[in-house]
Amino acid sequence: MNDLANVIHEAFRIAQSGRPGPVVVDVPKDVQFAKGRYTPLKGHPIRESYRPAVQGNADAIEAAVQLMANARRPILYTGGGVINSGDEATRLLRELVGLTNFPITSTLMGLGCYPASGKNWLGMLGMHGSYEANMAMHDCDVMVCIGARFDDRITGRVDAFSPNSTKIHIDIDPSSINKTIHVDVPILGDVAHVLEEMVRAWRALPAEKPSLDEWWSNIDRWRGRDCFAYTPNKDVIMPQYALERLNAAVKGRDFYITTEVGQHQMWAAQFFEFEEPKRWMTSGGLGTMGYGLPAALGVQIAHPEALVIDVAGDASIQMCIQEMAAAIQHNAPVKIFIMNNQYMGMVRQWQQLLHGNRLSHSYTEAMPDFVKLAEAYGAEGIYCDDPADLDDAIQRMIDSPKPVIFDCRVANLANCFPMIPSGRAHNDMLLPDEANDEAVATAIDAKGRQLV
Amino acid sequence: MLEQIKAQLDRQVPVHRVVDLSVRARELGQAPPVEREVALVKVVGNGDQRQEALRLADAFDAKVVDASIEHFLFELTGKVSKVDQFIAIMRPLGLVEICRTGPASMNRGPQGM
Repeated sequence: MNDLANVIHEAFRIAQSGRPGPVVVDVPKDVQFAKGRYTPLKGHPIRESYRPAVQGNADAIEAAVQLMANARRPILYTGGGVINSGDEATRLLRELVGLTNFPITSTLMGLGCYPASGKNWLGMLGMHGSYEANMAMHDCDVMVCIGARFDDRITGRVDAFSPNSTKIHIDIDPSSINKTIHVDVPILGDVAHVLEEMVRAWRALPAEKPSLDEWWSNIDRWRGRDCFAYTPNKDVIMPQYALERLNAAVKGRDFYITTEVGQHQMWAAQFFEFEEPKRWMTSGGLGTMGYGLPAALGVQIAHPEALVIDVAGDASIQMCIQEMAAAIQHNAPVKIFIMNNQYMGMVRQWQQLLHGNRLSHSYTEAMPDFVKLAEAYGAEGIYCDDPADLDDAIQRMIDSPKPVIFDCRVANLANCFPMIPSGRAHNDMLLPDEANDEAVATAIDAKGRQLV
Repeated sequence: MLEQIKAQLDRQVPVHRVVDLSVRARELGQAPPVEREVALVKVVGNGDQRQEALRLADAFDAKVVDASIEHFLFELTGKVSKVDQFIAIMRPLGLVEICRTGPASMNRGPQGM
């Protein structure tokens, strides 16, 4: 019993340090009922194990800066580690981009660490990332990975991943280094600590550096490909259009976006423009359908005046729909924007790509009436299936003082592009305007199918 | 690969320290670390087979910790390779059950870890 205080303090220390994350503390029933003495934090010894290093190795940082200074085709590949490291890491990252004029991309978890309006921003990379980000990753000569982990949604085919680059990897977790991709200069430490040293070393360099003009002109050519383009439709709401309009409606507001898992999540990552970190809550590699609504509640409680939107799918939202009761009970006016296509869209898309469009259990024949469902909980329900009415309906959702379930009916069979099909390299993307039925049917070969 | 295993072990909260004993022995200029494993091995049989099992157990310095007229339960301590060898020999002599601890290990010499 008298160990409990120490265990709880220890749990908080572990949860917040190193690679931050949840800690399970199992308190047995007899301890729950026992009485004991609370001792404050400073009286406790810190355990010997689990003490992540935060300061990067000075020689490694120096070697990294030298590589960066001589790069002709550099790229910064950033991830959620920048955000986890704290606001100082974000500030330093932006400073580094300003100093170096390097192009910067980010994983799903890192969105917002560099502003989407910034001139060096390439957009998200990876399986559903932008053409320019993936092409730049493939062709770069120096890659600086900051707080990201070369996840399989990022790398695509490992042996064809950025084949001609020298790789620098900043990470606080030693087990992330050289896990799937060999890196040339590993730097073990906290992002903010390491970036501070990097910025200092960069400032000390002579002004003469190789020109990046040619690299930027390549990138501009890739940007011109306009990879998120879609065919507009005036009869049905295209999912991309819905998010484009939602993004326009929240612009300039104090807003937070959470998501569930699926196509809506990828489209949201593509179409929302985040200027600041911690505005985008998504379950990332855990891939947890049902994450968005409870996450939105937490955000709304932390920021009572802010606009909090859970961008959801019709299947994902039903994983934790009972939390609507908590939204009402705790007066948390979260907005749930359901991109309703009556399918588990990402499952259907993969069944189309990998299984010859033999759909199985991905279509929902009997969908609840989401407007009535909202009303049953005491929330507001909004239905929209006409592109012409969408802006007004979104405005009503934002203006409502109550929690809202917005049933946005979108095109049923839209696929999420661009896409690096499994088993393909970064420079081998399936782009929306090339993705006809035949291209989709043959996108993934037998070898690629084994990878997913 | 070894680096990856060490990193994965080290990030477990209850793990105090990760040390590669073979590497450490080399650094100290010592012979490979001492390694011991305990195994319990049950052998069922009668007649010649039973006698042969007992004779071999004796040769391996295994102790009989339980017995009936149909079986022996041997306790064996030694290097992993010795345990492997003993089990291989007992297999045709009526081996029915094995329980092994896995190796415990320590570097030689007076210094601690």
